[in-house]
This record gives sequence, C-alpha cells and structure tokens, in this order.
Amino acid sequence: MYFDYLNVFLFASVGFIFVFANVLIGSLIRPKRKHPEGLEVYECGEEAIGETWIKFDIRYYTVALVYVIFAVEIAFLFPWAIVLTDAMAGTGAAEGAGIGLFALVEGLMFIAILFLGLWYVWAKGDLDWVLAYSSKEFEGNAPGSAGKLGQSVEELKAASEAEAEESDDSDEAA
Amino acid sequence: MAVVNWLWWIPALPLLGSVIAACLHAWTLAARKRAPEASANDTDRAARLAWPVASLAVGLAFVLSVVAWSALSDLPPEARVLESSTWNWIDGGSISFGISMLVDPLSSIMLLVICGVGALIHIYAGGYMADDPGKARFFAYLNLFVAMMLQLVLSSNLLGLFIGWEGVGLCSYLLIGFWYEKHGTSQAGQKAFVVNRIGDACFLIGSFCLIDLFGTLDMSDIGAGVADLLQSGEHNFQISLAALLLFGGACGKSAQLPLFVWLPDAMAGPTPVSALIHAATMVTSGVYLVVRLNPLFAAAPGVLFFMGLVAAATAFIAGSAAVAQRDLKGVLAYSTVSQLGYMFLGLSAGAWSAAIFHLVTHAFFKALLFLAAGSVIHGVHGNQDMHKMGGLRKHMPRTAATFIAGAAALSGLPLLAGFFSKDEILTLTFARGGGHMGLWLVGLGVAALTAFYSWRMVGLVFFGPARFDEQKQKPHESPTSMVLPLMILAFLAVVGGALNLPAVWPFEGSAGVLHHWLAPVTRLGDEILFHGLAPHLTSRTEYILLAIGAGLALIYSHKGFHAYKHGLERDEQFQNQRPLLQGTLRDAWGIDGAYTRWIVQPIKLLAFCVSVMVDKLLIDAAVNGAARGARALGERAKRMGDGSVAQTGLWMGAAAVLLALVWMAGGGL
Amino acid sequence: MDAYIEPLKALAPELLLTAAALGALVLDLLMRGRDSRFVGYFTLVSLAIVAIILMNRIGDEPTAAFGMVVVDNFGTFFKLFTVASLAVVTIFVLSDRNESHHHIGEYYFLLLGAAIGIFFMVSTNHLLLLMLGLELLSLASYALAGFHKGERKSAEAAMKYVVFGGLSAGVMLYGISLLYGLTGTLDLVEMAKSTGEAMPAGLAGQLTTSAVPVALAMVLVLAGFAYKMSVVPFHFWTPDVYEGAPTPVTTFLAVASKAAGVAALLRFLGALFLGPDVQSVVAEYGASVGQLLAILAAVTMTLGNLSAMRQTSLKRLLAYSSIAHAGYILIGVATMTGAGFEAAMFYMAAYYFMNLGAFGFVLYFEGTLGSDSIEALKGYGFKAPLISIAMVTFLVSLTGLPPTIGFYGKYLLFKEGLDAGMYWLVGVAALNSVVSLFYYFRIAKMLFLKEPASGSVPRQPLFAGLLAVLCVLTIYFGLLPDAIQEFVRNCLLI
Repeated sequence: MYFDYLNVFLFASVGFIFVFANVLIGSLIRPKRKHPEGLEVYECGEEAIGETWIKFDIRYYTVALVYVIFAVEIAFLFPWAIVLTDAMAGTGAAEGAGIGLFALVEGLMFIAILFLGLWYVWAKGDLDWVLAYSSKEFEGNAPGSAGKLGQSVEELKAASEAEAEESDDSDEAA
Repeated sequence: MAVVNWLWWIPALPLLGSVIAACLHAWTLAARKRAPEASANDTDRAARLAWPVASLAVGLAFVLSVVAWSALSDLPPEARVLESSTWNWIDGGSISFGISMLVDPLSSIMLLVICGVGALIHIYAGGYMADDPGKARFFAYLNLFVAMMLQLVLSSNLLGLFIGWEGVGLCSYLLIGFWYEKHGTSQAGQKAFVVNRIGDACFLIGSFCLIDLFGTLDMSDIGAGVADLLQSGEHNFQISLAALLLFGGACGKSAQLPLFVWLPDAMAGPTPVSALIHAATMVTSGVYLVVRLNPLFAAAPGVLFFMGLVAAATAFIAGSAAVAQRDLKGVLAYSTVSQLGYMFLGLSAGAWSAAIFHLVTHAFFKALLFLAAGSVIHGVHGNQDMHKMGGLRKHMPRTAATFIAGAAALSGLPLLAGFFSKDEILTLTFARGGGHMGLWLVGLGVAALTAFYSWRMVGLVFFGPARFDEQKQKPHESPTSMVLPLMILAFLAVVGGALNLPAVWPFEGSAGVLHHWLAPVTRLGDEILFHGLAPHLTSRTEYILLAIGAGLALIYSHKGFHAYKHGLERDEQFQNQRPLLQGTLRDAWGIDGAYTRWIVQPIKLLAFCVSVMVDKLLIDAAVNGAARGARALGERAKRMGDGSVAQTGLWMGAAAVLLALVWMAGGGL
Repeated sequence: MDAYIEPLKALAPELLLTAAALGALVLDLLMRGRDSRFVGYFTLVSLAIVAIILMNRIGDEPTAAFGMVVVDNFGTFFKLFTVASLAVVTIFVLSDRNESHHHIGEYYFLLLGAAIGIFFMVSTNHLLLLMLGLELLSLASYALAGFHKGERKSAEAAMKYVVFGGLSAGVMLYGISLLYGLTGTLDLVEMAKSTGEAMPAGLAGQLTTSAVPVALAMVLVLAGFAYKMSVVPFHFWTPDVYEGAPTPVTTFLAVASKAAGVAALLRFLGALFLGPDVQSVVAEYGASVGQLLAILAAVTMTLGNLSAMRQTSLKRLLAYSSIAHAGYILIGVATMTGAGFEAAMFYMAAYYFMNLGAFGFVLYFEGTLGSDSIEALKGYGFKAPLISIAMVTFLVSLTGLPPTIGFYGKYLLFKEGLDAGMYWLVGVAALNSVVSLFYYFRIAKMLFLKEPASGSVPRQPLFAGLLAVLCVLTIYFGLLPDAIQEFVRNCLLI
C-alpha cells in the first residue's frame, strides 16, 4: 500500500548512511596528530588572528549582493541576446511567435531597471569602501535622529570633519 | 423640486439649529474659561445668538410645513400622501426597516401644530431665558426636541416613530432637569424618564407583536394587514394584545393612569418647556399614535373600551386634583393630564378626528396658559404659589387678558376653541352609546371641574387683594417678545374652534373641516369599528348636548370665579372643614404616595439585597475569580512569547505538531 | 505582438505600482538633500490612480493573464483594500514625528514593493506565483521592519521576522511540493479537478486511498498562511516585530499584510475545496480542513487575548489584539461556506477602519510623548481630546460593541459560525470578546479616568482629522453596514 514511498525511503536512507559513514570512516582512518597549527581554521600559511565568530563588516554582504544581482543579470541576458536577432526577424526558434519588438523593449526595460539599481547603490554610497560607520551613528538613534543612517557618504565625511574641528576648538579653548 | 424631496429638511432644520446652539454653548463655556473674571456681558456674546438661530430654524420648519400642507391640499382627498423614498436602514433578511418620511393629512396637522406653537414658544423663551447663563444649552435642547418630535410624526414606520419617541423622552428629561443645580429638578427628570421607560417597554413589546403578526412596522401596511386579518377572522387575541401594549406605551408618554405621576413633577423645568413639551406636543404623541394606528385599535373594541375607562378615571382624578393645587403650574399640569384624558376618551369612542381637534385646540390654549403663567411667574420673580399672588391684573394687564382668554377656552365657554372640541368629544362619546354613556357622564363632571378650577386660577391670580408685599416685589409686565406670542396664541384659542365646527352649525359647508381633512386617515378605522354605520344623532339631540355643555361651563365658571375673586376664604374653609378630602385631592388621590410605598421602596429593598447577596457574594466573586485566573493565564502566555528566537522556534514547532495531531485525532484523516 | 500586450492590460495596476515604486526611488535620488515628503505625495497620487483603475474593475467578468494571473472581483477587493490601507500608511509615514523625512525614499519604495507582492498574491490560483508574491511581500516587510536599522529594537524585529519568515516559507514550500507531487500541477483549480485515473494519483485519488499525505501537505501549507496572518502557533514574531518596527510599518503589517494572508488563504481554500468543478471527495475533505481551522481559531483568539492582558506597551498590546482578531476571522474561514468567507471579508473591511485608527492613535501618541507605554497614556484624553475620543471609538469597535462596525462584523462571523454548527467555537469567541473588553477598556480608563500629568502635547491637526474621519466611518458603517456589505457581496470568491 505504501510501496510507492519505498523509493523515497531508500533514497533518504542511502543519503543518511553515506554522510554518516563517511564521517565515521574518516574519523577511524585519519592520523591523529595534534599540532596547534592543525587546529587553525585557516591553514594556508597565514597566521590567524582572533576567533572565527567575529562580526564581518556588513559591506562584504552589500558588495556580494550587488555582485549577485549583476551576475544574474548576465545569466538572463545571454539567452535573450542570442535569440533576439531571430525574434526581431521572426525566424528560427521565434518563427510565428510575433514577439519581435516586444522582446527588445522588454529586455531593455529589464536592463534599465537594473541600471537604476546600480545608480541607487552608487548614489547611496554602498560602493564606497572608505568610511566606516562610527559607533556614534549607531547609538545616536533616539527618536528623531534616525535620519543619520540615510546620510550619504559625503555628508558623513563632512559631519566627521566638522566634529574633528569642533574638538580642536574645544581643545584650544581649554 | 417636488415636495417629497425636501421633506427631510423639516426635521433637519431644527436639528441643525440644535447643533449650532450646542456649538455656541461650547464657545461660551470656552470664553468663560478663558476669562473667568470677565462679566457675563462679554463672555456670553455667542450664547445670545442661540435664540435667533433656534427660533429661525423652527420658523423655517413652520414655513416648510405650511408649504407641505398646501401641496397636500392641492391633491384629491384620497391621494393625499407624500412619502419620501425609502432609504434602507436595516436589512435583516425576512424583515427590513427603512427610513422614510410620510406626510398625510394627520401628520400635516401635527407638523403645523408642532412648528407653529413651537416657533411661538421659541420666541417667547428668548425673553424668558434672557438672563439665564445656560440659554444656549437650553435652545440646543429645545431645538433637538422639536427635531425629534417632527421625526416622531413624520416617520412612516413604527421604528422611526420610536426613535422620535425616545428622542423626545430624552429631551424631556434634559429639559426638566435643566436647572440641575436646583434641588429636586434632576430627580423630577429621572422620575419622568423612569416612568416613561415602563410605557416604552410596553411600546416595544407591542411593536414586536406587530412584527410577529404582520412582519412589518410600516404603518400603512399594518392597517392593511389588520383589515386582512379581520377578513380571515384569526388572531383576534394578538391584535388586542398589540393594541393594549401600544396603549400602555401611550399611557406613559401621554400621562394616563397609572403612569401619569411624572407629569406634575415635570413642572420643575422652565415654563416654556412645560408649555411646549408637557402641554402642547410631546404628551399628545400617545394620542397621535392611537390615531395613526386607528385600524389596529378599531379592531380591538375591548381595548378601546378599556382605554375609555382609563381615560375617564384619569380625567376625573386629575381634574379633581387640579381643584386643590396651590401651585399655579401644578394646576395647569393636572389640567393637562385631565385634558389628555379627554382626548383618549374621544379615541375610545372612535372619535379620531375629535381627539385630534381637541389636541390642536388644547395645544393653543394650554400653551397659552403655560406661557401666560410663565409671564406671571417671571413678573413676580419666580413665585409659583397662587396663595401669594392676587390682584395682578393691575400690574400686568396684557398677560391677564391673554390668560383669561386661555382659561375661558379651557373651561369651554361657548364659541371658544375648547367649547367646540370638548363638546365634539362628549357628543361622540354619547352617540357611541352602551357603556360609553357612563363615560360620557364622567366627562360632563370633569367639564364642570375644569370650568371651576380654571376660573379659580383666574380669580386667585389676577383678582382680589394682593397677598404679597407690593412695595418690595414690584410685579411688572413682561417684555413684548414674551407678550406677542401670548397674543397670537390667545387669538388662536378664541377662534380655533372654527377648525371643526359641529354638524349642526348653521352655515353650509363650514362644519367639520378638520373631520373631512382627516377622513382619508381615519376611513379604515371607521370602517372596521362601525362597519360603515357611524353613530348618528338628530340635530335636536346635538343641540341639547351643546346646551348642556355650554350650561355646565357657564355655571361652574361663574361659581369658580366668584368663590375666589375676593381672596382665599374658600380655600381656607375647604382646608379647615374637610382636611382629609383636601389632602387627598391635593396629592391626586395618593397615587404617587402609594407608588412610593408599595413599589419604589420594596424595589429599593430588593435592590439592596441583590447588591449585597448576589452581586457582592456571588457575581463579583465569580468575576473577580475569573479575572484573576485570566490574568494569571495572561502572565503565562506573555512569558511564552518573550523568549529567544531558538526557544520560540521550538515552541512554534511543538505547537504546530500538537495542533496537527489534535486535528488528525479528531477526524482530520 | 498583441498576444503579449493584451494580457498586460489586465496587469495594469501591478505595472503602475511597479512604475510608481521605481519612480519613488528615482525621485528620492533626484531630490538630493531635500525633504523626502515629496516622494510620499508622489506615492499617494500613484495610489489614487491605481485605486481608480481598480474601482472601475469592480463587477467585471473575471479574466486571466499569462495562465497564472486571475483578475477577478475577489482579487480586486483585496487590491483595493491594500491600496486604501497603503494610502493611510503613507499618510502615517508623512506625519510620523519620529521620522527624519530626509532621504527616506526607500520607505515608500519598499511599501509599494510590498503592495506589488500582495497584488500578485491575491490574484492567482497558481501556487508558484502565490509563493513569489508572498516572498516579495515578505522581503519588503523584512526591510521595512528594520528600517530604523540603528535602533536596537527595530533591528531585532527585522531579524526575528526574517528567521521565522524563512522558516515558515520553507515549511510552506515543502507543503506545496507535496501537493505538486500528489497532483502533478501547481494550479489549484486543476488540483481540485484531478480525478486520480492517471499517475500521479491526484488529490481525489490520494484521498480515497489515504489522507495522510494530503493532511501533511495541508498542515504545512497552512503554516505559511498562518504566519502571514499571525495565527497561533506561528505568531511568535508578531509582538516583537510590531513593537520594534516603525509604527507606520507596524500598521502596514497589521492591516495590509494580514489581509493579504487572509486573501491568499481564502483563495487557496476556495479554489481547492469550494470551486465548481471540485471532486466530491475533495470537497468533503474541505470540511475536515475546516475543523483544523476551527481549532486554530479557538487557540489563536484565546492566546492572543490572554497575552494582551498583561502588556505594558501599547504596540505590543495591539499586536496581541491583532493576533486575537486573526482568530475571529478564522471563524468565518473555518465554516468553509461562501457566507462564512463573506463574513471574513466583511470583518477585514471592519478591521481596516478600527485598526488603522488604533495604530494611528499610537503613532500620534508616540510622536507627541515619545513613548508607547500604557502608563504614559494617563490623562491623555484631557490633553488631546479629539483623537482620544476617536481611540475610544476604535477600542469599542475592536471589542465588538455596537454601534460600531466591529460589532456588525463580529455579529456576521458569529452568525455564520452558528449556522455552520460550530457552537463551541462561537462560545469560545464570545468569552474571548469579554476578556478583550478588559484590556481594551484599560486603555480607555487610562485616557479619561486618570489625572493627567502636566504639560501639553503638540498638535497635528491634519493627522487628527484623518483619525476623526476613520472614527466617524467606524460608527457610520456600524449603523449602516449595507454599503460595505453590498460591496463585499460584489466581490465574493464563490
């Protein structure tokens, strides 16, 4: 009655067994020599500093995200570009589909929207790697000051410079 | 634009006036708060606007009513109905209620009376309330009352009528207790409200009976439904029950036995209120209700006769009580109850139009009497005790003249308004025959009482020696804005009888104008009650009846006036020789006292017991226990949601699995 | 070419919203360094245009586009609902005193993006598109919840929302994949029709042999909807997110996002169990799913109400209240009848007025006093009487007392529940209403029966006016529910 699910069961079992068997076999046959270097996380000759559980800079993710978006764009655009000639001419694979101009316009719109995204990221300063958010901006978020986060990099720079000058002034006064 | 399209303006105008007056009041209060030191002259500027606004609103409503009336009279008699399109309010499946307005001969008469008398009383009130700090509030209430009263008479179904019914009750409560700082006024308001609730409960249950019977509360449908039911000969009991319950409602609002006790107390309110609400309009809405549903009542002759008994008893008890009052407004209050008894007496004989006729003339002369009494009270600086008046005609001649005109009309002196309307009721009661003959006799007796106490009032107030310090009090005539309405009303009270002259009137076509006007409304009721054979009297009998009425009125007016025009001897004599009877009459046969002793106090005792035994020990304990339990549960539930992500994730999964299992175990598989 | 352009017309509102969203982003970039409020006004205008297009569609025959999108009155109802609530939320954002209004064009962009997600969610019978719409809505919501990324609570809210959201989306996808495996299609109408004569067995065929896989799939898919509607036990994110997110976002989540969940659930159940061509076995199984929903409804409203009682933050309290309301709505859904669905839709309309109003009050209150604790409400009614009176009206409506629209909505739900024979559920719901009275009126008590602290509050007349309008409508439609009922009736699914 549940015979249909036997293959599912077998598939799952083999999967589990494969994983655990490998781990088990590995632990049995590998040499157990304990050097401090062997316990390093990153063992390519570089000295590792500190823990692995550190906070990464958020900008790694931002850049990675932007990269992924454009990578996906390419993945979409290659097939489109290849069939576009056929589509415009109404020949080949696109024969009789009547998609012609529509395909072109749609593709261009896709690109336009992506460029809009690029413009946005650029304008917001997410492609700059110069300035770090100082902890001050993070904490200065009592109601009413949330806007600090939306400031562009230039403004942040200007703000920090102004602050520096101010502290100079106060030093002089002292 | 067709008339029906702006019918809604008639109640809307006073409503608007009410809102504006309320805003003016708020404004005034704010001004006072801003400048607590400033004089009333500066701060109450806005409040002074309330009077013209409110009067104008009612005046405009009166103009519209006249236009509606004339539009109605242009139509052929059987087609005299203006019904605005229904706007569906509640759609409850098998039964639905709309809001729609209906102007037919009956409601057009009511419109004219309410707006006309209402406008005059508004004008009068401007002078009466001129020095009152809360006058804007007063006019807001008064205009709201007019709007609600108009809603009451304009609605084409009982639900809409009930809205107006409750609305006027609310305004009555607010206005009786208008001077709430004064001792007893708010209690009087509460009493009126509570006693009316009994009637309103009857009204509601009666409406439910009607829904059960006919599946509708539309009044024309009810009439048709009654006729159909009578054809099939079923449900007689239910019709009677509904009629009886609705009459119970009318008893509350129109101050009939056993629910009349609130009306004398209601005189605690300002006098224009007594004139408008507790004499001319609101208290007659019970009469209006019965006439409006005349087919229903006609189909329940037993209830009609019972109504006659109640009415005769009310008229007599109140009439006799009026004889022994010292308070000027008290006399008028009992007189009103008694006259309302007359109207119901007429209704019980199937004299629908006569009752409306009396309603109209009564609105004229009783409003007049109240306003004139108010003028007197105003003139003698708030004194209401007739034993401390006397000889006032010298100080306020115009008030005296108009008051005497009103008293003459009330007492039914020949050719005045009250004479014709009272006589019409008595004649038709006589013509009904059977048990109504006895009621007719009571009616005659009450007519004699009425004449007597009316002229007793005149004698005590305006004639005889002054029983107060004339140097100190300096009574004065009221301003023109107060006297002018009095004069108009006096004119109406004198000639109002022309509305519906008796059948034996010598000039062709002048008799029974109102009767013919109302015929389309009362036709169905007449058919059901009399089966087309309306009782008829020979001219000679009618003449004799007229003569009896006129004679009684003349004799007892004379007696009353002459007994009291020289002073208090008769009252003192009465009190000394028959203290028991005097006391009984003064307290209206002790009905109010009996209520206090046998109903109010036991209920208070019961309420106390319940509050201690049931409420504190049983319900509070249960509720508090439940609340405490729920609170504890709430604390648990709150803590459950406050955990870390991992923990809540665990909760989520576990709960999902548990719920799925419960479901599967319960038949999900 | 027409074959490609014609269906686009059916998608006009979605396309317009997309254009508006991109426009909002561009506008903000163009207006460098200036006030972002202009973007808000732009958003309002675009929403008005979309609303006009949608209004004109009411009553049209259903059409389809690209084989996945269904354009029908049911969808249009919820789209209008979304647009209307988004408009109010936009006004909230514009009047938010805690917002800098400086370079926050993304705010409007994200709100519009979420709306696009909702638009697709409510207008498809295809599980794939439904899932995509749901994810689009979720992604935008995550970002919105953490919009004040520097604030600890906002960041925490976003994090919790993402974690639980990802979990439930995964669970739901697993359920969808099970359904696909059973029927070979992702189209709900096809699924309900499949007879079981071929392989795969189809829903009907599977139900005749064993209901276990179907039951499993149902539980898993419902988890996804339950998450969006914050139904117990998928509600854990709600209080934290509602509290932490900026108040306009909370409003959006409580009203539009929840409505989207309800709409998708109604569509899912309606197409699967109540459609015209449904196999009888499947239709019968629908009643059993109704049982599950009834259990969920009872647990949800009880837990929501009980937890609300001891809250100290107004936003948290309203979060639990919105959980409880999800339970009430589920009564209508659990009846598995057209009338029950109608009652649920009506209740959503009622919910619109009273919840927008209540959250609007919170925003006003927060903006003027800088706190959302219930203690701080003491005597607020004397300082800002107009909006406090409005708030009391909303509370009365939330409790379900006449003469407000909440009463009529609850009345309809209870009536349908009783008609469907779920007496115990309606009993539980009635008890819950009593419990809710306790905490709703605690707020009213704080507002008016406590002595105010000294000091006055700044005024926002326009915003107060909006609340007053909502308050008037709450009462107006409570007295005259016909207009809304008629509207809902025109937009029924079944």
